[in-house]
Amino acid sequence: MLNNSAVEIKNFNINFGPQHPAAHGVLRLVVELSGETVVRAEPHIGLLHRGTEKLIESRTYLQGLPYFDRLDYVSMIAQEHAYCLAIENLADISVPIRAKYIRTIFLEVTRLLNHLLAVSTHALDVGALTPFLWAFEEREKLIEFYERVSGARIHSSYFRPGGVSQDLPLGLIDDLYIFCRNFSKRIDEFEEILSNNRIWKNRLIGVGLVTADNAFSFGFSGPMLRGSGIPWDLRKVVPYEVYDQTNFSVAVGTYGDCYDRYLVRIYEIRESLRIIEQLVSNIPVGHIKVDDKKITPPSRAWIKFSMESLIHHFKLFSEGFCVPSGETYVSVEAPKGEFGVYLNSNGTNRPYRCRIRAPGFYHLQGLDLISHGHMLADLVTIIGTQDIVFGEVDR
Amino acid sequence: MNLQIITSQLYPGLVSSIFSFCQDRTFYYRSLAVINTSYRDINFVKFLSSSNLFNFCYFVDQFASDTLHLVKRFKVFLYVRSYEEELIIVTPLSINNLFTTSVESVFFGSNWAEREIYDMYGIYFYNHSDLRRILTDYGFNGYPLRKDFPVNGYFQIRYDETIKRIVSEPVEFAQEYRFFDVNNPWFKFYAQ
Repeated sequence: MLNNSAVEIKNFNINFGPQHPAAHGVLRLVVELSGETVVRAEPHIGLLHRGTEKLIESRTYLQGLPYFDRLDYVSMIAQEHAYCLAIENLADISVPIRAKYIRTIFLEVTRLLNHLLAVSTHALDVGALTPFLWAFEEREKLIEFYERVSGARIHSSYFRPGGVSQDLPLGLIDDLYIFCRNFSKRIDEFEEILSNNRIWKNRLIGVGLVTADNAFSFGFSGPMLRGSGIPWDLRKVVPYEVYDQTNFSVAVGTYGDCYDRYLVRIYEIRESLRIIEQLVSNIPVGHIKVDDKKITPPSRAWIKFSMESLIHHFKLFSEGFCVPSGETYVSVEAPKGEFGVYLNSNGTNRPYRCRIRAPGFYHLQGLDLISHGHMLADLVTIIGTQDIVFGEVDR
Repeated sequence: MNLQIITSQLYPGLVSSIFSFCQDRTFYYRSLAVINTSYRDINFVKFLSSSNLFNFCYFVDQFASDTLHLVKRFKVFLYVRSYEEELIIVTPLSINNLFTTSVESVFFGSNWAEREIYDMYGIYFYNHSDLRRILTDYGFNGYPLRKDFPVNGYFQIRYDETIKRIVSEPVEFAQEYRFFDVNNPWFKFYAQ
């Protein structure tokens, strides 16, 4: 009765997420499966859309700053930095050298924070629980540096237009140095458990290949681009802050698979340590924000003594400062890739248009192409290697 | 930069002006060109991305902006890159003519960027393979990033315990949205 040759096997559609632990947040993925092979993976995003761009446009420049912490909530400071640079670019502010050093140190601390989470949760998705526990132990120490310097553990709002909000507390530089010395051993332990692990290599090598042409065309950046063999790092190409005075190298992959991107991230952790070590030993003394009180607030102590300071403080935190009209696009090498801010000012105290270019948005778009023809389990590996955080994808 | 000469010879009438963003002011060293064109030709974009002269093959970003008081109030920015240079193609559009060409066939990455522009501004892209809303909710109405769209929005969503499902109703606030217009009319620190 049943003619086997005429039976047409329909592909199977499943919903991956939005509550799946490997979806790294709220990714709804409609996956079309033929057996266990992925035919099509269509991400449905926007479940965490908060309208950040619209909110920033309705607030003053300084009030807009904390929104950047909340975009990619594992590399907070890197995003504040892009926004501060955009404002400084428009208002033609040059930051004091000590502030530049502090910024660069904390950008690299942020890179460590992000890559520790990225690598360890990737390992967790693939099935290795231990590195996750170790990495979060180390992240806790780094978050403490955040706390000591700004008072907040995660959403620090530490960088401000014109510098940083306050100077480093006593002893922080020493502790950073001690941390760096100890942390390189922790990275060795990471590599011992992962880099030559047979299961880890089987799961990652040859999975999620990205060619250089595709990476360019899809707008990939960061480790996703460098894993495909393109030596493109904005810290080298357009050196901002004091990256041009530090000595570090850029890791580049060979095949463009998940394992290469894992190695790139591990290498970047080591390079970040190298940068921090160089900077903490040469950090100069001096101002930590520009001395222009029309842009940066006076110190709290001065408010008690000087009427001018009181007025400036009040005006800056109620009216805010005005930025000359113009437009700028600033992109920085955030840990996940290129984070860009387009800022259009019309001369008032609010940005007229603030566009946020999130690296994860473009990485996630490539998921369909990268995962095509892979197994369902490899899809999890690919999401892990893309290092997706939904705060920035959905904005 | 010789981009202006070459492109205006090859595509006469297409490129109306090339000007510089203020990008190189403090820290940006790479040269950046901005092309202002009201008609975005796909062949032109293809030429820029694949010719050996320019090789603008690295897609960076595509986004739009809305300037309410201009006739051509919308602008679509396409930001591409080569190893040496950066290029932004700006396409101004008026509200009556909200169409431009999709560059998805040249840069795959612009697919979602165009969907987002369509979602946020209602700008339509010719030859786009899958022009749907992307960030807003399923069944959302209106274009949120337009300047005439209120920050509050129009509808709020809550779970109704009695009918056991999510209901959408007009926004209601205990306190109105407060807009502090603190701009001083007679003094601007940075007024130009």
